[in-house]
Amino acid sequence: MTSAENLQAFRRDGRIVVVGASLAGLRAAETLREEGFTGSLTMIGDELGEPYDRPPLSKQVLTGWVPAGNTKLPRRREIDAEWLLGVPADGLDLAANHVHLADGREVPFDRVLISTGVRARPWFVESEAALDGVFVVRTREHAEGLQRALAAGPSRVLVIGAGFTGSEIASICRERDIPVTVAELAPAPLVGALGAMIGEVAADLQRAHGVDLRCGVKVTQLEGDAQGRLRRAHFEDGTTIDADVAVVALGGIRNTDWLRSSGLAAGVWGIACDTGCRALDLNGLVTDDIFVAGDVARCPNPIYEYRLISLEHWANAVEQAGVAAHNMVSAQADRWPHLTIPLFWSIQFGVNIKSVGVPTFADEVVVTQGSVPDHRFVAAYGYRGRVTAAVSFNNAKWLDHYRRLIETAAPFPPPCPAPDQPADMKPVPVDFPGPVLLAQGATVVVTGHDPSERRVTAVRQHR
Amino acid sequence: MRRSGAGFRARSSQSLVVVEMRVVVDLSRCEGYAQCAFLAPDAFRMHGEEALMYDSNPDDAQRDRILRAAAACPVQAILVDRLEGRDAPTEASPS
Ligand SMILES: Cc1cc2nc3c(=O)[nH]c(=O)nc-3n(C[C@H](O)[C@H](O)[C@H](O)COP(=O)(O)OP(=O)(O)OC[C@H]3O[C@@H](n4cnc5c(N)ncnc54)[C@H](O)[C@@H]3O)c2cc1C
Repeated sequence: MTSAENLQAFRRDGRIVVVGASLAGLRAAETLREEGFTGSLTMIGDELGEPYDRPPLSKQVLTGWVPAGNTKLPRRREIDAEWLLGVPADGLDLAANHVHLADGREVPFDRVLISTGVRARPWFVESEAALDGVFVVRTREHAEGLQRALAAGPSRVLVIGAGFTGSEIASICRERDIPVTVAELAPAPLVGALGAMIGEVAADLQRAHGVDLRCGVKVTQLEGDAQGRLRRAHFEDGTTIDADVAVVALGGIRNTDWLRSSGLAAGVWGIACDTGCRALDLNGLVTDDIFVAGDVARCPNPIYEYRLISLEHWANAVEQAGVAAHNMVSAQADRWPHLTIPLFWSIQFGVNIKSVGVPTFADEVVVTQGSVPDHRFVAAYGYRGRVTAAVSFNNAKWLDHYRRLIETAAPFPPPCPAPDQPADMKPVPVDFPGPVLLAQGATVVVTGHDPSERRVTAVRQHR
Repeated sequence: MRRSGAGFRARSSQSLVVVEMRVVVDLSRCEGYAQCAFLAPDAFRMHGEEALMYDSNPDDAQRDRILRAAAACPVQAILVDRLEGRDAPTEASPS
């Protein structure tokens, strides 16, 4: 695709294949048509049915309000695609330019978008994961099963992992007046994403709502009865807890296994790409016809020292899909870089938690406005004297202000922009958990700062 | 706003015609003004002071109220299905 004529011919009757027919895939397809692509469009997805929205699955679906099958995504326009659903892609041949499906079919393409997202990390012992009453939440089927189990009035729910999804599920349990224990290896909920200070606030929030929160603990075994129903969980310190439902909320695994022999830079970290969403090959060279978007992508962000960053954020999937699709049907000179500042939200215990930027890219954090005890505040994160992120609890109206501070590399700590200046505005160390706690899904970690101290340590896949 | 064909029609093999809307709120934009919860309370509900939960596929009977809520949103975070005749995916027969 070098000359203008070639591009025109491609836009008129080229073949685009999208692998992963969910949020990113659908929004990309819509943008391709919006931009005037009239060639053939094929949507490959291993889930049956129409693309649906996932954030409600741990929120209004689990409360019992919205049925799990009722989160189908609205369409911005007709996409006139051929849908190949219910069969996963299991290979990508870059020499022949086709996607290989698990049922043996081969789907040829001129350009392909990979948006295969993430799946839930299962409990590490297969037989225990298969017990009646043990759940993960990533798909509508998962959410439907868990909502039914919650509706049956379990005596206790055990949530393993206090990240965003686990915390949201614990919140729903309390709302439904179901006793819930949350087990977390780190010192507090949400610390891996937001650091120790916000983690403390999240811990208070959970306890104030009656969650039996246990931090610094490790669940080692799920025990079933003779009928294969979950009965209790064992902790590393030898204690046990009786529960008839356990939700394994230990994060996700990027769906890149099917690309193993493709020659792309794909692995547990995702698929590396440039800011134009073009995939990198194993050598780190940019490819011409392979694009990536959504949770599976690992994209450099110039604001964060060009580091490759993977985000499991709804808004990122939507925006990156738009950029990828635009670039797929544009000449090199007209391409866009995906440069948005990450935005995330979570709803738990009646609080709207939002973040902008990358809170893990920080050495200090400070409450800049509002009141922590009232659970209405904003905290800003800084790295070497500049603002790199902000988190709000019930104070979303201010996040856009902080987004601009991040984009303009404003000095940290920033002044309070409103009359609600907190009494104490002293920055504290951000304090993220050590590498062992961040190691979920990683195979190695690198520690040490000076060249003489740098070491690679192998880590286990499961905790 | 035309009403015909705006909802989803089940496949012809079923006699039942389900008419529902599709709604998604970009909660990364939502700032909790709660206009939607006021204008279409059956579809949009506040959870605490600021967080919004909503029905993604509400009954088509609520269409007018939901469109009004979408129009009134100060940050234009509510997306409602723009399709008239949907190209529903034809499911691959896993052979
Ligand atoms: C319970 C839950 C709550 C969430 N809450 C929030 C929230 O509050 N805020 C927020 O910002 N984000 C939230 N998210 C994250 C958000 O839903 C994701 O960022 C978004 O779904 C990413 O879209 P995607 O299209 O990239 O990936 P996905 O939605 O994961 O879609 C990938 C699709 O590809 C399919 N696929 C995978 N492998 C193959 C293959 N080999 N062949 C064919 N198809 C394949 C998958 O089955 C899936 O259908 C939440 C996610 C979950 C699960």
